[in-house]
Amino acid sequence: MKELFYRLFVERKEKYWWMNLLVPVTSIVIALIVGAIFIWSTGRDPFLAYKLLFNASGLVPGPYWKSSFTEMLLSSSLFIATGLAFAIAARSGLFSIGAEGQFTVGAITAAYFGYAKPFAALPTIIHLTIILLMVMLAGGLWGFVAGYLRAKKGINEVIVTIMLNWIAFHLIEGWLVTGPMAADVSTGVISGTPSVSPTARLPIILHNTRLNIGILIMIAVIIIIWFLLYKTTFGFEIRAMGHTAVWGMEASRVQGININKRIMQVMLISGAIAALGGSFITLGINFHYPPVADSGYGFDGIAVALIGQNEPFGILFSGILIGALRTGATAVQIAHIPKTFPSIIEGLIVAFIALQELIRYLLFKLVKTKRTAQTEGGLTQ
Amino acid sequence: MEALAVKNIVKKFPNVLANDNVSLSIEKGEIFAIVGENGAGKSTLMKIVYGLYTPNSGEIFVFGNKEDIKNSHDAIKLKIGMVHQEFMLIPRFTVTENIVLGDEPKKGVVFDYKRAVLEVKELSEKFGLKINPTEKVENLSVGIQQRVEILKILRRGAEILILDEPTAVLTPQETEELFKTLNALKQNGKTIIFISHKLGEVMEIADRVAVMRRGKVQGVVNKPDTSEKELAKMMVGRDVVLEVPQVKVEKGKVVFSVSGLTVKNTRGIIGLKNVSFEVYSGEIVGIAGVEGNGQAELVNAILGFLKPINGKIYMGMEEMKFITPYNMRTRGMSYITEDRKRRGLVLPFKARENVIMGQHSLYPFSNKGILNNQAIDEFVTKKLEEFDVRPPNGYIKAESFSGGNQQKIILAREMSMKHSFLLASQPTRGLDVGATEFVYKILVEEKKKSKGVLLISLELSEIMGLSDRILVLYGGEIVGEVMPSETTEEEIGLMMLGLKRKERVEQ
Amino acid sequence: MNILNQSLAQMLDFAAPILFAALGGVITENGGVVNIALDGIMRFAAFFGVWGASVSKSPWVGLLWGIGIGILVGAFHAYITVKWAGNQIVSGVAINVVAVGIITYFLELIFKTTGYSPTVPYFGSAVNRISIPFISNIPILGAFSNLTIFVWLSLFLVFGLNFLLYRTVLGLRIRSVGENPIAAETLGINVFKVKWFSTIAGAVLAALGGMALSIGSLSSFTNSMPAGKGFIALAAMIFGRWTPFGAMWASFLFASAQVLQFILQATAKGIASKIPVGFYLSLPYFLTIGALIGVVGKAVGPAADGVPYKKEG
Repeated sequence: MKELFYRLFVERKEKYWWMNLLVPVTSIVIALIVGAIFIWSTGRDPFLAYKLLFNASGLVPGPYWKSSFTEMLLSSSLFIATGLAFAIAARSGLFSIGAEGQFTVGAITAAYFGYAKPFAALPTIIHLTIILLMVMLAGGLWGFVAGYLRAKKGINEVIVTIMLNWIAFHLIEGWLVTGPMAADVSTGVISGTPSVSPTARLPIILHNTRLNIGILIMIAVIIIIWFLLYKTTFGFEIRAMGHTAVWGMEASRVQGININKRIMQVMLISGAIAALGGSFITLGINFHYPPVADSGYGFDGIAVALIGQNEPFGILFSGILIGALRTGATAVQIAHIPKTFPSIIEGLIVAFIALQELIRYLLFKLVKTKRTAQTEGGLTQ
Repeated sequence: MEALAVKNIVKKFPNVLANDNVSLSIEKGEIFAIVGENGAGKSTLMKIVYGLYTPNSGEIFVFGNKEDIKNSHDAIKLKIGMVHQEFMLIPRFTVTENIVLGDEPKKGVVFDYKRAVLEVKELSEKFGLKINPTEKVENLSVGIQQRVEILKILRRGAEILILDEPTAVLTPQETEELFKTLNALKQNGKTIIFISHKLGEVMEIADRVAVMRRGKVQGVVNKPDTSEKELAKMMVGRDVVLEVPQVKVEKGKVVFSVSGLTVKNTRGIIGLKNVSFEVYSGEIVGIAGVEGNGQAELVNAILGFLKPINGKIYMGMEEMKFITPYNMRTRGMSYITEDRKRRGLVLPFKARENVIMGQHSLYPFSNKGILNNQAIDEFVTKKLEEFDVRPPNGYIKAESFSGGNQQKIILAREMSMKHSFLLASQPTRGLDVGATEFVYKILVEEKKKSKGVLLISLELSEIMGLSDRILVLYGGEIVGEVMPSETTEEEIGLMMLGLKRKERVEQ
Repeated sequence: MNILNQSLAQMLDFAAPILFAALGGVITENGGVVNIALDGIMRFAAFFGVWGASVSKSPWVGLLWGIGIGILVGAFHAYITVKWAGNQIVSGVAINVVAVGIITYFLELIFKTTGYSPTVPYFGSAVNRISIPFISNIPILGAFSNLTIFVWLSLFLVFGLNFLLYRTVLGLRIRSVGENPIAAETLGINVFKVKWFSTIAGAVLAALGGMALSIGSLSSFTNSMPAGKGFIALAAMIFGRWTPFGAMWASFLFASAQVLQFILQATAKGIASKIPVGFYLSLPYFLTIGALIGVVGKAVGPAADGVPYKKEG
């Protein structure tokens, strides 16, 4: 276990290595407790709420486990995408809140190449490959713009990514979906873009469910990003940039890293990953782009990345957690609790992650009193 | 009368015992020096007295009363003032704003800036410390900034003045000026605590001297009863000979040169004017000058952080068109910086990552973009031993090493890179005697290996001891070029202040 | 002339929520605490303002409720980032995410609705507007003849905050803490106190921004509020280089582009009328990026902005 942890988080070898695991876990537990107190204080039954939530979340085996589990993975893969997109930028010292826009750009691109005539007749494997490549290209471009402006003009990437989110949103919903890409009503689609061709649907991997290869693609992306971060010179350089970001990445530049090039590359990769997530919604869930898109995946991605401590494998777990909470969300309505309740929990987890210092302090205190009791002052070496 | 006394002060940091049962007593109206190497615990002790650190145990007495100093606010109330080694100034604020901050003259809630300016003017006249109250601090030289710091504490009515390494950034003449000020303040009845590791200065200014080593007080002596040599021995625990072996190496080709270099700094002011010089292989060229006279602009222009508005930079014979650290390094430049935390190291990176940084994309450290950890570990282990980094463990984060060992990590990296030219910018700043000796040894070895070295330093003795040729920077210009054997510290000091010029000696 | 006045008044109306929140960002970040929680705080206050107004039937009580929740959320942000030196961005994200969930929860719990709250007394109603009839026909000045109290307040606060930051002792101290907290500490300034103050004050301003959306101009709360306005305010603050007047001009830019888009859409003839609405809607954001490339370039914030302050030893 320890060795595995080391391998996955090579960067974090330290004395209390388990702290990096314990802090998020403790945060989750405290958040659930605080959430329960909140439900109780509003006159609802917290035990019933959590029972409903977790039974439907796909995390606990139960009567409809197969369906909830696969639904959970379906939604997790989206959160993992936007979480990774934020994390890789954050590890390079960039603060990108552009996943939201890149996600929708990915979704609309997937829709277009999914229904557009010349492609629709291709065999699935070729068709899908083309779609996913175009999706990553489009999302990557969306991210690249922010990277380019930051690298070449020194413009704060925070503003640019916010602006690009809005531009994507308005151009898609105020033009593409209602204009050139709007579905012909006679085709049977009521609104949004036309449906994608059957060859553009992500292949199902579990019979009788909606679970498709999206989650497998995302796991592969996690492994690739992890490899990139820790095993390659590219990752070495962007981690150095992230660590020196407070000082304008000076040390990284002085040691010969071409930070401008790396900033553009990282933003491109970040955009591509977020867009990939967006395409899964089109190709695996809705099969067309709706007139008003489900949004919020981009911003939730920030939370997912933070709970996962910006580590690729941490994001696998936090993505699954958030996906599970969202999957179980509709069930809590039975207890007269709004289905946005899980985002309260999500926010609280992030809040306790922000309170790491406090949690670390409390945990250390706990450990120390235990150890001191065992060894009788064995700490004073 | 006793102005300040500390009794049995103990201060522990996670990795080090910074103050080990320290007791001292300081009389009113004396100049009391505390000497010791970097890391001996002097600054820690003074930060405790000033309320910035809380001691683990021990007592502090101010003017005979036992006091519990919890923060700097308490210290100020007790009339203790401190000039920190790294100035505590806000560059974007004016001199006046910096001086009155925390005790501002006001009309209701409104900050009465006009009155503040007047008060600062009066104060500066009273103590004979000339300044321009409305100038922004970022536009001031270091010497003047120090004046602002002293005025800041005098305005709070400080009776006990603590000065932490105040001369580190001053010219000999500015130091003289400071000493005059300190003596005048002493005549005024102020008590001055002077922290330093420059024994010559201590012997000149102090009435009594306390020597600290590894967190402990080694002894307190009256100046007339001691000597520089004795103090040095107490300080280091052995006889110190910081002498540089004189090596003559045949001068070779030009490895680096600049011609007509003119650079505007980030504030848009011309910081370097028409500077030209060459560095030959097998020589150390020293650049002397007071901080803020163009050194930063020169270094930043060489690194490509500032774009020259005129002039050229050459590596060997090749004119550098697109100057970036990467391009300079691939043409054979190595760089040692004084700013280890910001520039030299990626602090949260492990020592091993810092050692290979810059060559990480070369074989054998990586192949086709994939890192080879085994090759890296082998190399790093060898290098850490060779450069005597303690502890020689590549898996410890750079931020956990002491300043001296951090500099050795940087040296290990820079020396192992293929280079013909070494840019050494204040390579011994903030280092203890041992590490300083090590750096000197490396620089001389560089010369022996026929590299060209450009040594920028504020320590005149360092420049005099190591250089084959000295250039003096003043106001962004080279105002003199001299051979160390044909000049004196005084002469260079005059040039550093712009009071004397000396033409280039013909080669 | 009427169109000009109307458009100008409309612009000020659109600008107010962004401006309030941007000013909140200005004061918080001048004190060295990054505030990406603006959006969440706006959402909290937009709802609480309506709630208060609905309970008491008075918009003024709603205003107090909104300010109250602003103080609470600001204190939460300060507790994490100042008291425990927590990561300021993480804390901000937490507030934004919690705001989404908790307000929807409250909306269903209290008003038993999902999309909108019932209508409540508000400041945009004819009786509560500040009417100055005799200037209504004067060009430009006429725009100010029938504004809500929120619009006036947002404009006054620009001057007020400018005065606070650059003319008062407190302002000097706030800026010193944002530039170099250690220097401020050595001068006996209580860095923590100042940061607590600037963080909470900023949250109150953002809360006013949230209420400008709900009880300020509409009579109800809609669940999509503030629809990302907090992030636009964040951009306006950076664009305005962390100064009150800069934030004001940036907010005006966003708002004008919005008004311009309405005018263009309404009056467009021929080819212009065929331009899709999305182009008009995205115009302000293109303009902002253009302005950043052309004019502003590198924005430099307070030197110690975003760096958690911990006392050593």
